[in-house]
Amino acid sequence: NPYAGLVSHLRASWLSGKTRPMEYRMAQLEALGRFLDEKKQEILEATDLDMGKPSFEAYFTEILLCKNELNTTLNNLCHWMKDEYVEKNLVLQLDSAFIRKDPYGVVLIMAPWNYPIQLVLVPLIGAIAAGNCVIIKPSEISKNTERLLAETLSCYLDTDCFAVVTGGVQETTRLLENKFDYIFFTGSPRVGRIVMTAAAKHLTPVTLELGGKNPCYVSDTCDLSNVARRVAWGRFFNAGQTCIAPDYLLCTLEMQEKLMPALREAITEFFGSNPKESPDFGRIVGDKQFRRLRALLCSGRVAIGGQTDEAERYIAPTVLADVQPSDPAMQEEIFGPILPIVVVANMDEAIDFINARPRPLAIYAFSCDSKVVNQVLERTSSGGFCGNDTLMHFTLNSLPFGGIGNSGLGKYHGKFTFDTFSHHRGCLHRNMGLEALNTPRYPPYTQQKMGLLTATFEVKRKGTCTLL
Amino acid sequence: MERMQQVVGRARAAFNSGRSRPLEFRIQQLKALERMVQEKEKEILAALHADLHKDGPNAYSQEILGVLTELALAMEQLPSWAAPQHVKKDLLTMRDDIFINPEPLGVVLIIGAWNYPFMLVIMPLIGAIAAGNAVVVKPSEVSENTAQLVAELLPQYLDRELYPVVTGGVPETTELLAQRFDHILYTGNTAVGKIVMAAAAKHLTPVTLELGGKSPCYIDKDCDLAVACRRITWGKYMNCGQTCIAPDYILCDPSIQGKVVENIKATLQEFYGEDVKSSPDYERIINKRHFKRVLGLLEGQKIAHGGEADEASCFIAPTILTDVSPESKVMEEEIFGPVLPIVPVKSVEEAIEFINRREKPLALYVFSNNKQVIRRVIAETSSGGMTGNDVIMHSVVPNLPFGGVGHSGMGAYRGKYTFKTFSHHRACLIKDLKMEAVNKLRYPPVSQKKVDL
Repeated sequence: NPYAGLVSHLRASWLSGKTRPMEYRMAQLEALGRFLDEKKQEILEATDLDMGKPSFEAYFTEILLCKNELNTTLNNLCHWMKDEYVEKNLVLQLDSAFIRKDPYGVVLIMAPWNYPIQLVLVPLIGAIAAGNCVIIKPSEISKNTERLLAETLSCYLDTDCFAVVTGGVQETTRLLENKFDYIFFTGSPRVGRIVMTAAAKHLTPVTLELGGKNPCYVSDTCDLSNVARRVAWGRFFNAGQTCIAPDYLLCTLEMQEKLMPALREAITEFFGSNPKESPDFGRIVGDKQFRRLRALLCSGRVAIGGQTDEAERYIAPTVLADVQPSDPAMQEEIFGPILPIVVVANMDEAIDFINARPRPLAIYAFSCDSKVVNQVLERTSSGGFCGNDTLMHFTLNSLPFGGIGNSGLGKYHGKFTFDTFSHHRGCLHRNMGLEALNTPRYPPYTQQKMGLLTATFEVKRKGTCTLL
Repeated sequence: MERMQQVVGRARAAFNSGRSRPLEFRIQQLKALERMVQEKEKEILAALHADLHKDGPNAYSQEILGVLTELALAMEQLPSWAAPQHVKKDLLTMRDDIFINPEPLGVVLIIGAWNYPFMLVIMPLIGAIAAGNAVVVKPSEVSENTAQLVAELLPQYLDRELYPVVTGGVPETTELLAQRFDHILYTGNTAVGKIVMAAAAKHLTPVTLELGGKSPCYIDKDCDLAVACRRITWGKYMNCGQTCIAPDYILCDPSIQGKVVENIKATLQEFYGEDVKSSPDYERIINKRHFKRVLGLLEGQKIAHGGEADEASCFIAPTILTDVSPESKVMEEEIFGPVLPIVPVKSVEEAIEFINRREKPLALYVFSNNKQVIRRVIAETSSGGMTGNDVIMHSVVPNLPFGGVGHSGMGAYRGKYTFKTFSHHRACLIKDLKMEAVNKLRYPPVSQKKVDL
């Protein structure tokens, strides 16, 4: 077991208790803040090399969003760490009942390649804040960022408690043989199953941030150009390599015709007449992924874009019209700058279409009629939901971010990350005196004692529920 | 097997019909459940007596009172638990509607254990119904009378398609676990917990595992021994020691070991009289297999009190072992019986070290007049939950989550936590289709001005 030494080293640090004091956690988090400030250029360069990430996007997603999480955590850590006192029943009135937030111990964070800094740092911030030791496993596919993290994080964080492990499938498999106290995984459902199966051997709790096909329903009553811009922005951000990107559009035939010129206009507005020359449009991360995406282009008909360049791993912002459910683009999560449009007769058909498929990470619905948006919300299930926009629910760290069913289990962002990496321990601190109060519970049991017990323990209905 | 697929398929179709979602429906089902518990109290107590020799007042307080309390809480709080929760907005989202929507997960599975056979299926069922799910209930086959009764009663009071009861042993449970569920709550042992989680992993099903372990009980030299020992005796020997959060073993200074034994003996006399076997308040071991297992743990030990056993009735007397070695068999596995080992330790440091060398337990107990000692033990150890200066009681506080950590489990339930466990908290952001000007900041093409903004 090649990682046994590393894991036991971290476990020894954990057992020493050094990650527990708030001052220690704050100091490590401040160091992460310095990493983001001092290595900003390196981060922008590495993500550019890895997938041609436009620097605006890289700054926004890899630096700004991380700093927000960091500041939210630093501002609130003291409060989050406090014991939460709870309401008690009659018999416990003189006692102290509270929830203590205990760190788990040594946790593992496995990150993917598409937002390689953010998807390491945001969980890491919560894991450190919660008092754990952490092993970080960045994706080997975004090799420049992997190298950056492996080489520089150790200059900022305490190497006794935080380590970066690099490598591919073999190394990850060996790593997963070890016992961790929590595993946080972001990636595909297929690998999510492998991670959870490995975790089951040690009864390690997990958070799995997975993916799926995020449907985007556009109703007939909507502001065409705003819809087109918001959808195009969400779809083509990071060249489509975003877990919550609108994966495919559902709308009527009429709407498909109307949307097309609006989408064309939005794309031109964003990337100019030749997106290949725009500094604001990214590239596909690797050759394998490029080829996979290119094969999806034979779905429906190419209405916008469709150009590719293998040498640059460039796929133009593309919209496919008249796509059939049986087409290649509808068989897997796209994860690229291709937007298929599937025609449906009406909202009910769109909802049925969505519900016949695995529950996605996000669902989008566009309509000027709020009743339509609410209908889609109420009659479907997904990790998160955004009405009349795309991606934006992700940026609010007061909202939990996570999937359901195939798109994942657990959630994070803001306080939810801290809670994810803490064990909420129910604690009751009783008085050693007043033993007389305990008498009703002791044998020998009598009806009289039963009456007393019921009176002191039960929760009475306050009144009839107003719904009935 | 056809049967499991059919049962789960029917539950899923029933869930998809949407009828379990309206709050009125859920409350109506919870009321029906409450009626069942009240109307069939005699039958329930009889089944518990047949399975565990649990008698009336005891069974009522252990298994029925808690359930009724939980039902009252759920019916009272449901509107507030199920309401969308609005959250803090930022500058960009001032005009938007932002909330967390609690939604049912779908079809969930509850697997119960045999030691509190009625409570351990009904408690989670309450929260699962309250959260709007369809629920497949699988009571433990080991407590056969209660399993049989639950299978008969639930369909008489609740929606039959939404809340089916499945009975059977290992083969039936294995087949059940091959089906797809949206959450599985399992109460039982660590070994089977791993099997349940591995099965769940195939479908990416989230799990709540309420397992066990050896819950340590540290008695400080500075404490009221009479009171401490009475409370420990109550928690240890209730249900004949077959409680997941029973104090499993005692850690104390060798100088007070003798007094601890004397105090426990005196309390046992007070609780069960001279002849424990004839006390109606003392239970029996669930079956011959566990009887043999628990008795086997006494081998080679110093029995300070008890040790009598009768196989025919699965009776094992309340037993205390002294000067127990940490390497002995009784210190390897969760005892789950009326045997209380005392392991001598010289200090609270030694106790903490001892506890931390072992798997994280479901519960942890510490008795001391000195608040600092208690605070220290809490701060330097980890456990599912804990009680200071008493045992068991943290599990009856309605607003404390109940669950394990590490080998003692994952996830938690009770009260609102059951509702949360069986809900999906969906993040929702609803924007205006107008007000596009604000969005322009984020669109390409990018100029330095936008970056600065």
